[in-house]
Amino acid sequence: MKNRFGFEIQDNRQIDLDLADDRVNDEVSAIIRAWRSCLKCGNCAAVCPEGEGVYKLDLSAFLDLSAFQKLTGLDKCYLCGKCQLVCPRGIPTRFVIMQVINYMKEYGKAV
Amino acid sequence: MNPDKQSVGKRNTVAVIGAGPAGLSAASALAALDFEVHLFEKESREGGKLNQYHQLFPARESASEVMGELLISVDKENIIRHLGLGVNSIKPSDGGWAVHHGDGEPIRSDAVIVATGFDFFDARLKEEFGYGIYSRVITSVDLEKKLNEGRETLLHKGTDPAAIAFVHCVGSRDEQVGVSYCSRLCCITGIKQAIEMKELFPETKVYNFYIDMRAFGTGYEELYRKAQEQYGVRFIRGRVSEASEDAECRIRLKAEDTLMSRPLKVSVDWLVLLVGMRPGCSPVQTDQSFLGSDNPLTGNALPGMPGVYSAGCCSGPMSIPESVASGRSAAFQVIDHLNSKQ
Amino acid sequence: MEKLFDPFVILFTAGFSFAAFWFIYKVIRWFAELPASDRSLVLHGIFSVKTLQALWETVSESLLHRNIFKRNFRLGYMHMSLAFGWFMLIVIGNIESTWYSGSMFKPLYVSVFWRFFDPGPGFPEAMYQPGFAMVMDFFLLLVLSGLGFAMIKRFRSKVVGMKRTTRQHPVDRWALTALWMIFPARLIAESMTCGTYGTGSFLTGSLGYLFAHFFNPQPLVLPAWWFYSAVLCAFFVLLPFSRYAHIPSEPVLIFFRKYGVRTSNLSTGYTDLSLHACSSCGVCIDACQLSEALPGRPLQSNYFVKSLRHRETPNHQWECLLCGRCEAACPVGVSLMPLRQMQRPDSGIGLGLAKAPHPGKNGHRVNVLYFAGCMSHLTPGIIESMKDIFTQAGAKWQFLDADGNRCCGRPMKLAGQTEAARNVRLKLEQDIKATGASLLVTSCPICYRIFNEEYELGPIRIVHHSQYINELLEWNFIRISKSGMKAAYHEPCELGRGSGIRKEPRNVISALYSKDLTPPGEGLCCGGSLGGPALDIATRKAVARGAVSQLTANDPDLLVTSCPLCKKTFRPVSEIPVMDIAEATASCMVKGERLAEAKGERREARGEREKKEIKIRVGS
Repeated sequence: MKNRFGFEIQDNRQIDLDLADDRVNDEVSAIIRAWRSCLKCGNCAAVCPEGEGVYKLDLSAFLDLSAFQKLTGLDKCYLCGKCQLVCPRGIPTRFVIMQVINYMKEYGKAV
Repeated sequence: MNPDKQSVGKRNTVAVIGAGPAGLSAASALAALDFEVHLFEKESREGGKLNQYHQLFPARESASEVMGELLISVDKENIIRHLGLGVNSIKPSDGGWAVHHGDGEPIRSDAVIVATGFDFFDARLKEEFGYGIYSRVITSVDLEKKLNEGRETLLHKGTDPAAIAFVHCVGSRDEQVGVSYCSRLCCITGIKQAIEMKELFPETKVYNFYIDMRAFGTGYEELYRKAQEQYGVRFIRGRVSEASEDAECRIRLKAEDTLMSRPLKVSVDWLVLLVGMRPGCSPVQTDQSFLGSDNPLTGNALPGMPGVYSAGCCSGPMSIPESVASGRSAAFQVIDHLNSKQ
Repeated sequence: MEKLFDPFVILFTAGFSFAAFWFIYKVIRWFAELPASDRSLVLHGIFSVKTLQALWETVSESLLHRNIFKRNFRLGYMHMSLAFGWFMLIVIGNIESTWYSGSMFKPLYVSVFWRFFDPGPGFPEAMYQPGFAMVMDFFLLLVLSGLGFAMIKRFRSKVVGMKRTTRQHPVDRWALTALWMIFPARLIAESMTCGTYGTGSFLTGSLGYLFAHFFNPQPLVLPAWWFYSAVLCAFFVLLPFSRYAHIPSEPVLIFFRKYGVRTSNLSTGYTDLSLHACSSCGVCIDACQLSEALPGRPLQSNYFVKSLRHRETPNHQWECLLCGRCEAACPVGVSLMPLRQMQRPDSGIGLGLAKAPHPGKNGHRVNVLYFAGCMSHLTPGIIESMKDIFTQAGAKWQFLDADGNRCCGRPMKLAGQTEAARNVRLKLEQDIKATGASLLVTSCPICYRIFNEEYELGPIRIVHHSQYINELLEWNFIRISKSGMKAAYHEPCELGRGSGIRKEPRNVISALYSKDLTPPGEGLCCGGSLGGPALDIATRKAVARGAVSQLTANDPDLLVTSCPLCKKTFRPVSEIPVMDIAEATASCMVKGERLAEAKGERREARGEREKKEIKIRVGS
């Protein structure tokens, strides 16, 4: 995005944890306790047919909810369940995805 | 020696079950104080898992040399070795314990040290890695054996491998196979073996796929850095998913680089699985779990069994020096116990 | 005969009329809310032999409860005695009152309260005299014996072979209380009358005689009949709101089902009927493996149906494994799996998946297309074995999802996302048809089920690999050397109950192993099912362990299954080896060169067979 002087202004990549919107994360964790134990090990992403990873849902939750869709590729999920079969913490990842998508809808950001 | 205490040694018998590093060091310590030691080992020779290793971390000592030292230390006339004889159970007897084995009358002893060691995780349970299905998928234990046998065992049709991948946390920290604990020593094993691969094949790319790097011991973190800086081992934070074989029997891997947040694929000549440590079968319990302790912070006494102590990996994953120290500690706890009984 | 009326009959008549009007209204509504095609099915069926078949089923299930007898004799007796006994009391009572009153056209209450109007033949002579009184007494005794069992069942359900019994909704508890009081009230009322007049047969007469011995029953006659009428009224008033609505609804369900009506998204009439036909008998509770793994959680199908009926959102529905054991056990035959699926809302997940089908790989034409399924890539032993088997059988085959990146779409469907599942299906359908194969073999029962039920693949024949192997063995395309081991087979939910493929895997097992030690009875769920997304891993492992211990009851050497998900779920909790049927076959297979003539012969035979099959499939 260029300003009127023709200079490129970078998006701010820094996560401002003080301003993090934890609503989705908190509500999903309330239903699925194990979600908090995610190691971000990436096993889910490694087996995902679409190459996306449930672990990213946690990172992304720190950010503005509107940036969610760009980062997570939730719309590509087949709910196939392979991620759930390999998660070392035994998290029911399919259910996490379903819950996150439902909450995102609730908060008005279409996924 | 203090004449009051001397009487304890001369009249007492202790049974040590298991002649791995912990058992050998416990037997050696007790024999030095004139105990009569019955050392039981179900395999045909002493040494336990130490026999399977090539070099030990962190200083790359030769496993066979360390083995030799331990064997010398038990070359004493008051250690009676029972090789190839497993112990079925131990039962209280006459203020002490009767050790029931497979060959004749039980042997009575005043105290028992259980040093039955551990088993390696069966990598076939993580079927997605293809162990037992693809020929180029091996475990860290298999690799130690190949290193003992020689460089040629790692060649394919006479050529050096182009790439080798190590996978950490196979059978540890994994709810899917029912193992929630960390086996402590696989990470440093992976670092050591990665260095060994680089030494044998300097041109080969070596990748270590880890979740968390657990390099807690003395010299471990330094070895990790050496692996990176001096040897160029590539450490990638992320898990490997399914392995598959291509037409030349090379292994194709899919993985996720979590720090870059991107999927990754690579073809390697060897996939080495760093298998965790599982509790072994022990004659003092019916289920297979690590042995507990009456006072875990300060001693190894088995709960509810006065005079019985654990040593080594039968109570949890330990390195060789930790097992040796544990064996000596158990020996001195036995002495303390027998002194207090008098 | 004096006038056949007393004010107490008003209570019963009012209550019964209420229930009757409710029922007629409901039947009209159920019919009206069927889709037009189903309505015509019903109308066409009424004047066909199906009506007789439905009548027979009504007698054998609603009255005699044969399905429940098969489950447990005492439980069957309990249900049968109440239903059949009461039915016979009504029928014989009607005949009795018609016989003695001389008129067929009389108010409904007359036969119900007949003993009040006509105390019957004298006691004790009549006690052993065959006649209406004895028959009525016999059926009353039958009902009371069943009632006894029902009362015991509330406190010690093991007596009727049930480990757990239904926890009742309040309305059901009131209705139950009313029902339980009806027959003792009838017994007392009839006995009071018999005691007063010195009449009755072996039951009512004896009891009446006993009463008369201790006090004068005459002043208690009318109060007793008022009480009887009152509890009948209470029961009928509560019936439409309670589980006892199944009494009139179940026959309607049987008839509609016989005519060909099926549960579907559109048919709210049939769905509502199904919800009413559930008797809350609780047989599904014991059938559900989560009863052991998650004890105390009301997620079983009877609670599910009850929530829907009372217009509540069913709790715990996302924990249901959709394994189908409840549906298989249901004596009424309520279509529980479609009901559960319909309740999973399509929340629009996955609509972002590309809708446009992309053209598939148009490679060399193959006869056999192999689709391993995404799960099989986590159990590569299965894939390697299938490769061996294809090679040995000489099949010209292509591995469609070699990169493991295709999903069949059924997991989406099980999660309720039918729209997205459809998009996924269309995409893969195109790719399959573009290969020009005539046979599609898949290793995953989940994939098989959706291929079979929803994919439109034209003349392509679809088989699961256990069926393929079975045919290879039958036609001697592969040779095996029988193993001396004893195996037990685990039937995957999606393959057995889901798709009806039960015989072929067992044939293969018998061919491969010296003994088939599969325990008899309905197949189990491994616990890994995609149907229950909310289940935590500890519960799944509990289900898996429970299943393994049942499967190994006869002490087999190994466990064989035919689903990658079942295999992956069982392996970490099984002490004996777990193998897929493809791996079992590959390990027993005799590998080597095949005789050239035999090769040619077999190829010809196979070609003929395939042509025949295509003809059959296209023709069907």
